[in-house]
Amino acid sequence: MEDLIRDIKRRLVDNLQLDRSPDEIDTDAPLFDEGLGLDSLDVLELVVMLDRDYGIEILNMDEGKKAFVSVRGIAEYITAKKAPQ
Amino acid sequence: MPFDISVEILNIAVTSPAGNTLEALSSAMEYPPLPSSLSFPGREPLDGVAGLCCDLSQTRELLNPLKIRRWGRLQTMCMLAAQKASLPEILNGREAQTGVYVGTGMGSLGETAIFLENMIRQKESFPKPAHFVNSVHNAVGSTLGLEFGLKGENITVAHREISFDAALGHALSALRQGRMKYAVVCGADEMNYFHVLAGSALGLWKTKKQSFKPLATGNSRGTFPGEGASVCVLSTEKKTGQSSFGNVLGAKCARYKRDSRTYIKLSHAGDFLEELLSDAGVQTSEVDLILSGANGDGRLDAVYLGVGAELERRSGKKIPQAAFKHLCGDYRAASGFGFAVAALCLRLGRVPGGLWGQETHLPDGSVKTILLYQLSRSGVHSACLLRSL
Amino acid sequence: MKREVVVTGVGIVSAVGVSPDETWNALREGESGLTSFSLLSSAKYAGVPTGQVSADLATLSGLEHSCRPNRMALMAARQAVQESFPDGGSRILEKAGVILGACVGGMAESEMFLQRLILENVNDPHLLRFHECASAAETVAENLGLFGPCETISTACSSGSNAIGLAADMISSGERDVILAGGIDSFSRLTLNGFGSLLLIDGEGCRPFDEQRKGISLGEGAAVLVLESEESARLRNAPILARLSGWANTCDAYHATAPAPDGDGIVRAIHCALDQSGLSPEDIHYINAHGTATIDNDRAEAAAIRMVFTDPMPPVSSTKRFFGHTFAAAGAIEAVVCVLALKNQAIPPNAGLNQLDPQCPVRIQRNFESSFISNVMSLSLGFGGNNNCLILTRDQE
Repeated sequence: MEDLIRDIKRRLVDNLQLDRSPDEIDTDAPLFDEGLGLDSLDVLELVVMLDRDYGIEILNMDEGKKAFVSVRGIAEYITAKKAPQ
Repeated sequence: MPFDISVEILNIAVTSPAGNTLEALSSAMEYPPLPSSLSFPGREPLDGVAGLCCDLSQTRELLNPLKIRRWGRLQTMCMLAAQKASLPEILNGREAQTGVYVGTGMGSLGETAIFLENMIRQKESFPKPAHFVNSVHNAVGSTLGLEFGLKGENITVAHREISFDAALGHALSALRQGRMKYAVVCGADEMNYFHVLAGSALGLWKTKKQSFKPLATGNSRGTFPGEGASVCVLSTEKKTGQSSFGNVLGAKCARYKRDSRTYIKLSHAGDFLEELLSDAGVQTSEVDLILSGANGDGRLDAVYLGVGAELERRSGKKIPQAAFKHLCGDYRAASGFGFAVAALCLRLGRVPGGLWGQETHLPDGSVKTILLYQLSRSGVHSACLLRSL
Repeated sequence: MKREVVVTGVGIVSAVGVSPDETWNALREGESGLTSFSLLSSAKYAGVPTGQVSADLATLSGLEHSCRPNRMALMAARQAVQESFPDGGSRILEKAGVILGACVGGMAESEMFLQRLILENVNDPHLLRFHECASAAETVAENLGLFGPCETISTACSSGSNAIGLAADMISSGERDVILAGGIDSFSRLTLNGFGSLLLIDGEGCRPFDEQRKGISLGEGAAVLVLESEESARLRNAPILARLSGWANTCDAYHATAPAPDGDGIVRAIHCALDQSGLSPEDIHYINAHGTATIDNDRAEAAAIRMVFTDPMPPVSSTKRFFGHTFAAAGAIEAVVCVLALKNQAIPPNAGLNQLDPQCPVRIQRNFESSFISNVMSLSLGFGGNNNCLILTRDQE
């Protein structure tokens, strides 16, 4: 999980052109509003990121809301989706 | 058209290869920068190609890092200039009555290229939506409106070399009719790898070794690519107690008639310019300087000189002609930069030596009325008229 | 002293037809022009409902070596000029201007340039010769012999409407007597993939104001209006199809793409246009909405309309189910629709609607209906919160 979290942070910085290093991102801080301060355009970028980099397709915004709570939230979502059924 | 309502240039700022402050620009007007080798990170080097680029290394110090990530190069250049133009201090509560008028010939080429290249390489999977949003031509206008809370008119003209002058014309109209109290007028275009690469294949560019002196005799073919953003604030309300850049008396654009010998039918161009002057109540003989979009391509410069000679013939006096594109490179909305140069000349009260293509001396204090003139090979030309207070 | 501005000719090319008559027939019969996308090679968007023009543009325009936008723009301009100047009029036209809204330009060919460069390492700059969106206005001006102002306005989806307003301003202020004003756009993989990446495309065809709507259907087209000072029009006995009695443009300053939810900028544009026209809200007999069928747009627009117009509200329809969202051309196409509505004294329907979204509490015009209408309003809203409002009025004389 920690490797995945590190990977997600790195990809967030690259894809969203964030002005900080991956280590500076708080794993449990909210992604939107305070915390990282992401917005609706970032949501679309995150949807693409999950598809391209983790092979997970998010089909609608309700699914997106479940995933995009915090970095840990994304990691847990990915882990759950990739777990053998 | 209420041409008698004067419109003052309250402030002006640039992001340019000649510098990002008016002080740097003034210095460059004496000692122009030289084109330098162009390199684009992650791209194959373009041998022998040189141009004039802006220095954006101070962006992170001057602009909000949380916002910068959202902006492409063009928007960043414009926001840097807008910040230097002190919009919040000048507009101060009048944002709802402020219009934004942007001229850009090519828009955000960089953002468009990022989106398209990704689309092509990924076969339409995994798109980049933020870059698409920035690819619309009015991204700069929207960003200026959004960041400074400007809720009046918001117009973008995207028409080659006349883009800035046409946008300026709409701003003047809105101000003179009282629809807007203030106008933020911006001219911007950015350097881009694909644009330079395509230009190379078309033989548009001079080689690195060639000199860049528009209007000089014996000029070679081609020019140097450039980029820049110029932002000015105009109003019919006067600024008190500060040194001025002068008034804008008019702006006009039209199609020109072609001529097989002189390229442009000179009488038609002369009529066009005299119409602008006459609308502003200015005699041709009152023009102290023509500042032209000559770009160092001998054929094009000859056309500018021909138009200048036509005006001289009509006025019965010598009208010196200077150029500015050797300070900023050739790009579509460069007349916005030319406008800043003209405004600085009026404030300085003289034409610095670095602007002359052919040797000309104008006594200090003798430059009061400047006519700017641009033409595009596509068949359109434009002009605007500035006068010191 | 401001001069009155009138419309003396219109031309239109779109998915429903290549003339004003064909357009009006389609609106009257409720025939949407949306078909399966096939114009460009697209892995992801093949088959999506779009408003493609099926006519042979090269032959109809006479422009053999050109691109779709330039051809459509010229066709629409010729129709408008033919109506306004049936006997020629080259001396007046020589001084006329052309101002078109355009966004995409020759992007379809530019994409080929980039594709060949990236995938085949071939640098073919000839493919970029139509790249700039200025190309369409210049094509019109060159082919019709116009030497007045020649400009291109590019404010995304409000471009065409903006171009009309700015042209009207130039005439009203006395700068010019005649200007051809309108809008043009065609398809590109950039816009398809771009809007697709924003999750704004409805794979089943747009349904403006519908509760189940999922977004836009892209389209292509061109529309041009001959705008003229009333004095000039009457002097030469030109047909006066309508008066352009008000126009206004505002900026939301709210978000890069989404409109302000309370419709604030739209409200201000409506009020400015009404002030200019000397009309009150109750004088407006029909509103042609921007109505792109995105959740955000339709709600914001409805909120704005609700804010300005009290009951009984004027009927509202979006005609985008007929044409698709033609981007820069939309505002001009819809202005022509308004002129035709005034001429024919009927209101076109809001096609594609089953159940009205309860969060869009406007009086939707569901069916084509003959109606006495004098003043109609057209709204066009662009990316970046760019709001344009036009008011067209029936000529009483």
